Amino acid sequence: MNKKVLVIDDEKDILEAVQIILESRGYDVITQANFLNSGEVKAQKPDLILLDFLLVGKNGKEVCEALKNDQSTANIPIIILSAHPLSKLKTFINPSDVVGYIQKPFEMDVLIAAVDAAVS
Amino acid sequence: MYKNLRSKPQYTGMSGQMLKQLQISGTDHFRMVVESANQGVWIFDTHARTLYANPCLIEMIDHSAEEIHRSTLFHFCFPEDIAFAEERLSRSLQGQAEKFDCRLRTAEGKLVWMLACTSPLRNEQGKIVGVVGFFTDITNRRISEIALRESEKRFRVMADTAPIMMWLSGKDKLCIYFNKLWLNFTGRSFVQELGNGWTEGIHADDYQHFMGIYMAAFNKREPFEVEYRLRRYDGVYRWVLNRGAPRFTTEGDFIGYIGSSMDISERKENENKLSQLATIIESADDAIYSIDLEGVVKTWNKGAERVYGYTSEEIIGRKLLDTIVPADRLKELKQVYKKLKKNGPINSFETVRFKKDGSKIETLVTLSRLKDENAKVIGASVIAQDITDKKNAQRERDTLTVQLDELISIAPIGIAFINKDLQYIKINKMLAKINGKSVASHLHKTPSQILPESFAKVVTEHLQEVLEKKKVITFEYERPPDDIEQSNRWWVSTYYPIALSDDDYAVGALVQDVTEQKLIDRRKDDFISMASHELKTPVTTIKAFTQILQHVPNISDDKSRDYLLKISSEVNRLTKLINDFLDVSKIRTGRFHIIKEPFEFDDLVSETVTAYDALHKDFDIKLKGKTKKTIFADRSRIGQVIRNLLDNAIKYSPHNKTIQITITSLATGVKFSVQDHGIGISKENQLKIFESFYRAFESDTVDYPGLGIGLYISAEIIKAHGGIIGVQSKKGEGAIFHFTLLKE
Repeated sequence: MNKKVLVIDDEKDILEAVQIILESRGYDVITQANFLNSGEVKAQKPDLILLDFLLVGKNGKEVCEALKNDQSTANIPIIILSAHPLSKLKTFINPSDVVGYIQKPFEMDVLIAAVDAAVS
Repeated sequence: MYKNLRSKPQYTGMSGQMLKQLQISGTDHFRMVVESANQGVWIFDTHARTLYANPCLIEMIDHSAEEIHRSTLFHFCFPEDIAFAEERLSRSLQGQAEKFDCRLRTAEGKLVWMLACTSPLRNEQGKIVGVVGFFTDITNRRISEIALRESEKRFRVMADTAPIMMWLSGKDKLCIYFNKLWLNFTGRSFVQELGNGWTEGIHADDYQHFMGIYMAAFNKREPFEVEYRLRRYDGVYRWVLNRGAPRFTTEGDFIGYIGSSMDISERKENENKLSQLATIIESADDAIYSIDLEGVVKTWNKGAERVYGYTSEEIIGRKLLDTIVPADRLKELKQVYKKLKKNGPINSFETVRFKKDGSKIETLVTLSRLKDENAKVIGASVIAQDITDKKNAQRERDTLTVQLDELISIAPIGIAFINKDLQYIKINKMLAKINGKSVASHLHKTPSQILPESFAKVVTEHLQEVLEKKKVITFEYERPPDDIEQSNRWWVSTYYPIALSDDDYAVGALVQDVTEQKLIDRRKDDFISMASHELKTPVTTIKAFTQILQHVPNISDDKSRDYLLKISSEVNRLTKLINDFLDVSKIRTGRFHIIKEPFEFDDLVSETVTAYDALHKDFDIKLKGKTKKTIFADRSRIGQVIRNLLDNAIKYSPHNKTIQITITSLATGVKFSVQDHGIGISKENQLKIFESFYRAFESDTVDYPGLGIGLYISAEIIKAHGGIIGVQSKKGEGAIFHFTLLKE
């Protein structure tokens, strides 16, 4: 069975690109342009979440906390996908909440390798 | 010989018969002459017995003719004079003519002074047979001589006790007398001074002068007065005033000079001092003059001429009020006169005076009372200084000081002066404000009494270092939020030593609040980080699809075209972003200009809305209203504003996708508004969103991407048109952005 990756990003072109790339590698990809609550995520049962740091109305920190506070989503690994400098991101997000960071613009290989590593 | 004669018996008388016997020839005519002569004629024989006495003699010695004829000369002589008379008669008996004084007594015992001229009486054979004497009564002369001697004696006593030096000279110009005081003064003996001896004491430089005056006066028998230096007993030359007057006998015969001398050195010195004082007064720069109690000018120096322009001839005798004192100073003048008449100090005062040419000058006036010998105030001496220039300079300095104080006071940087005890001596408003206390509460307090502890410690350390090392110190201080400031503030302080004297230093402190600069720097940093983030988003899309096209297999041509379109669209987005950044740069450097043209506002709005509606099919974008107005504005810039507002409305409406655009006609122009039902904006952020490229990215809040720059540019465009841009919103309930534009 294919691993399922949930991608959350408010840039719909980026969502589409990530979807194409990951699907080409055999992942099932579901996308969301925003984040409402952890229940929504729980229903999808993803194996991995790729999360843009800045979303309209919410930031990655809040999303991470919401997911980690919900028992049903707390164990889903999260990779942050952001154009922000890594150093800045690290000051906002508890490193134990995430399994990795991917800098935008990203190399396809880097994205695939990170996703592969996170779900294996 | 007469001694022998004296002891002989006296003759009782003498007759012409007896003369005959003596063989002295004569005529009756001769006898008649002798008898009637006005001079006493007394003829004696060789024993001094009277041979003949004429009536005049008999009358002079006032004895009876018989007694005279019976007696010798000596019978009538004062006993003290007998020996002397005998000697003289004897000499005449020996052939000599004699002339001598002798005192005789009248029958009543009265003294008669006689001048006797005796010569030998010879007979026809030439033999001396007696003596012929011619007697003149000189009693009156002798008495006056005695009186004179007495008076001279008295003179000497008086002269010797006189408190003045005195001298006498004779007809020959030589001195014959000096009183005691003179001798005491010169310390020389009478003998040394006699004649010309005393002139040795005259100062060599004065000798000619003195002698010239003395000789000239002497020759004319006129009184003289001369000043010269005379050596005192101690060798010191003293100035003496010598006065001389000719002396005459009662008969009017010139007999020399009498004179007095007095030591006038002190007077001379005083005169010198006075003359020096007069010179000083004359040459003084200040006006020095005197007035009487009526204010009439009595004296007027050169300085006064210079200061007031009046010559002394012009002003002496005139009243101050008619000349230099302006009418509006009358009251002041009267008060001065009043003070003059009383006792007590008269303070110097500054006032205004007229010059002769009518111009006004400022003077500093000092008055002193002038008193007469009875200590009655008769006027005042006045010293007046022209202080016009000084006052003007002072005023300039004062003005400058006031201006400087004002400048320091309102300076946009903090300024303080702190003494070596680290007390604030002066502090301006800005620094007081920075420190959160009033100006007054700083004075004579130390930083530790004013500032929060940690800050006071830093300030104190730096102040001490400046005072110890006498060097300028500049340091930056970041003050954390406290009671005074709720957010961090940054100050750059420069402390510099100010030398008050050799070992007394103060510290000048310049404190500049660089918080704004810091915040601007931060915003710049934020802008750069935001800009790079914004740029990275389209770049990410472009890069992702490029890689997909390169590496993902089996992509259909349709898909490929779609991906290329996406790439193209993101390139356009990049271009727009770059243009926005350039606009920001233009705005910030003052190079942002609008080009106005007339256009139909409704057309621009509907064109834009139509385009957005086509592009964002998932949104319900509605346009309501018409203005039907042609406005005069920068069409493309206004279009940019509308697009920015629509972009934001779309971007921040993730759920409710209804967007309402309303245009309204106003009396003055048009109003555009766009309402979304998106996430809304908090009150706090509403105040900030139009400011620069505001975008919070702080420790606990992370806001929304791309919010700042579009609104900032839009606000600038609307402002440049004289319009108003604003927002109404509640967090979570959407927002209404609106702007107005003037028609013209």
